[in-house]
Amino acid sequence: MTFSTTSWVMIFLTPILAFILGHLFLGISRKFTARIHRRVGPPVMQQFIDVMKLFGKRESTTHSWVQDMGALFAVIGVIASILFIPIGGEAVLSFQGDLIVLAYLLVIAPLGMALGTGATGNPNSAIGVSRGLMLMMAYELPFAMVLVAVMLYYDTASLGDIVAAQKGAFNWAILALPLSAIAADLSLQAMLGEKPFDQPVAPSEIASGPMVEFGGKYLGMLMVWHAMSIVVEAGLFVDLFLGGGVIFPGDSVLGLIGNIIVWAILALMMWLISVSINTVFGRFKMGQSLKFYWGVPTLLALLSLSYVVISNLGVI
Amino acid sequence: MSEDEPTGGLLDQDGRPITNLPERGFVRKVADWASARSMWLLWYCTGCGAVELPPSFTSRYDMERYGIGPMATPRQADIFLITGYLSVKTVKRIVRSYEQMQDPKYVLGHGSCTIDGGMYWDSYATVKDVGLYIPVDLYIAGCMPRPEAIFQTFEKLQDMIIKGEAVGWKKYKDNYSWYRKNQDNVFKRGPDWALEEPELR
Amino acid sequence: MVEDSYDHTKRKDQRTGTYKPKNIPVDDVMNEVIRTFSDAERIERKGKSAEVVVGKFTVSETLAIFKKRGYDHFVALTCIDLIEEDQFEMVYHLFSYGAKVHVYLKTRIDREGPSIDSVIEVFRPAITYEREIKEMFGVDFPGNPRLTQFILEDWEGPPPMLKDFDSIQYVQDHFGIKVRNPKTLPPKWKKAGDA
Repeated sequence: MTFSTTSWVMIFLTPILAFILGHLFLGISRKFTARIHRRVGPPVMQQFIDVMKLFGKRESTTHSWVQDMGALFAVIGVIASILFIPIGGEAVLSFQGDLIVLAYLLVIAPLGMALGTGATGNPNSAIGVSRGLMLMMAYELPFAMVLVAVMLYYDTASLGDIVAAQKGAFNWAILALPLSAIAADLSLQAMLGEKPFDQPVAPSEIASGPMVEFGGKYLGMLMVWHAMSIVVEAGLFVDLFLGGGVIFPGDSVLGLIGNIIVWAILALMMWLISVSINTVFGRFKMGQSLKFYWGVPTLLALLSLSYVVISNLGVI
Repeated sequence: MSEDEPTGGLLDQDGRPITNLPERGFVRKVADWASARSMWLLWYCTGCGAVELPPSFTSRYDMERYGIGPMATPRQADIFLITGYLSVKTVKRIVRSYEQMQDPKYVLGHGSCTIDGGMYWDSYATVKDVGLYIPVDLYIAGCMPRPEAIFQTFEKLQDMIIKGEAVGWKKYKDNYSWYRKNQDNVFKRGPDWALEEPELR
Repeated sequence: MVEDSYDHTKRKDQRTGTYKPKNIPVDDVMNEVIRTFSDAERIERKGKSAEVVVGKFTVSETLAIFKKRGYDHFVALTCIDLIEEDQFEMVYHLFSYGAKVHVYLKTRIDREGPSIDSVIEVFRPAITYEREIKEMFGVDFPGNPRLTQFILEDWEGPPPMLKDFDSIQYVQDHFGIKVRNPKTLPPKWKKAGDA
């Protein structure tokens, strides 16, 4: 893996792109939700203003240096994972096995947050963190099986190769592995923390859970993390199942920009599907979430996985 | 901290604390602009004022189009909305929540009860003027104020923040001993209050 | 079984599994009370209610009789400040689910150094009512272990529900505001000395 000048530029540009896209996605979703409620809704730029305000607060209370580190950990973890996601067919860091690395990196950011919130000593944040970890245990099972199925199907552990293999008309993995795609989308709902799986951050119940003691720039950092993780998670789905948005030939700059726009639109669609489910649902209990994820999505992922394994063996 | 000597506090002719407007550079002006466009409420429901807020939040009046929304904890909030009368027991919690909020923070007194006690003007159990215990930036008169009045107040507060005139948080720091004296008149700070006294800058 | 070990005067219906409350007419119980205590006096009331005035020292025993006869819901304990007669009137509200009759058991105590024995041996829920009355009227209840500060935190003034408690003066002293000229106040707020 050699780093050209373009790679170095991309290392700085990709997080900025994810930052802008993430806040845009959140702003659009707030407008979208408002329209479903028959409200006017905030301006699309509201999320940028919110983050600006949070970083512009005159005072930010910290409880210990672990809290500072935890917030940084979350942001750095999500920046690290965005570098592995192919955007418009081109990932900054791409090598054989990067999908497995990414699966671990996705967990680092929430763990960083758990570390930081644990340091605040508020019981609500401890409840929120334990709920978050329990939820992770629930949705990681079907999601891991989906990843294995996709890796086996394309016989590669590199996201870039998976995207490249889906090039061409009607070659997307969602058509080849529809059951895996459904299981992955169901897992995405909890990954994004949308209802009915928003138990870790239940504002009316445990006072926004992990964020309960975060204010000012610390809350700002968590909001940046949240916005960017939406891009990472929705983008991962697009790369796995929707061909990474690669429609134009990617060898020219214009084609690459076109691919990035298509990728962003597809990711936004995945996010809005999740938001529309969020709008009409209440909140599940923890037990209900576990039962749900270890039921239907796991079964679908397992069916799809066994289909891939059997077809690889050459029986079908 | 010695409680007797004032910490550079300024009082006007009515004996109410005032403060100098802080100087603002360009960055601070931008931050204040963002602050005015994105105000998160800590919605302290005392008394009957809470019933006027659901219509303000939901489809009819839609507070979110101003960027205003409810927040779960004092740490995250910018505006402290006190909706109704405060008993002596409640004012303790109010002060405690207020001290947990992050600067700059603004307080809105909602309803007549926060101004002079309203219909509880002679009650032994409710404080009459919230401005004695925490600095209130704006009062909303009425019993109860309609959502229209609440929105007018928010627009006024936005103007004040952009102009840099909403300085209740600074008043509290500059005149802490004055507020502390009034607070000590009505309640005691128990051993569970805080590990240390709030830091004065 | 918790239900069986609990000293419950209601009978559990074996067939339906529900409690069937005792239905004993209030007149029978009243007669028993008046027979037992010579100083008990029944006062006639209309409707489904009955009133009895007993002596200060026989309250617990009277309540026990009522409880045994099915009047086992302790609704409330109230105190009335009869300032002209220099007495407090304590009212124990009871209710029978079987007879559907409300009983007011009243007794008088002196206003100076007020004290009456606690009834928590008969009705445990009274513990909170007595706590409240201790705070609001200053009545002492020997036998109640929990007469600590209740609703009024950090209260140092006289009990606020007393009729001679000057609310306006208290407000002016403690909450830092001046109340309007007392001469313009409605008559009921005027003190005896005011012209």
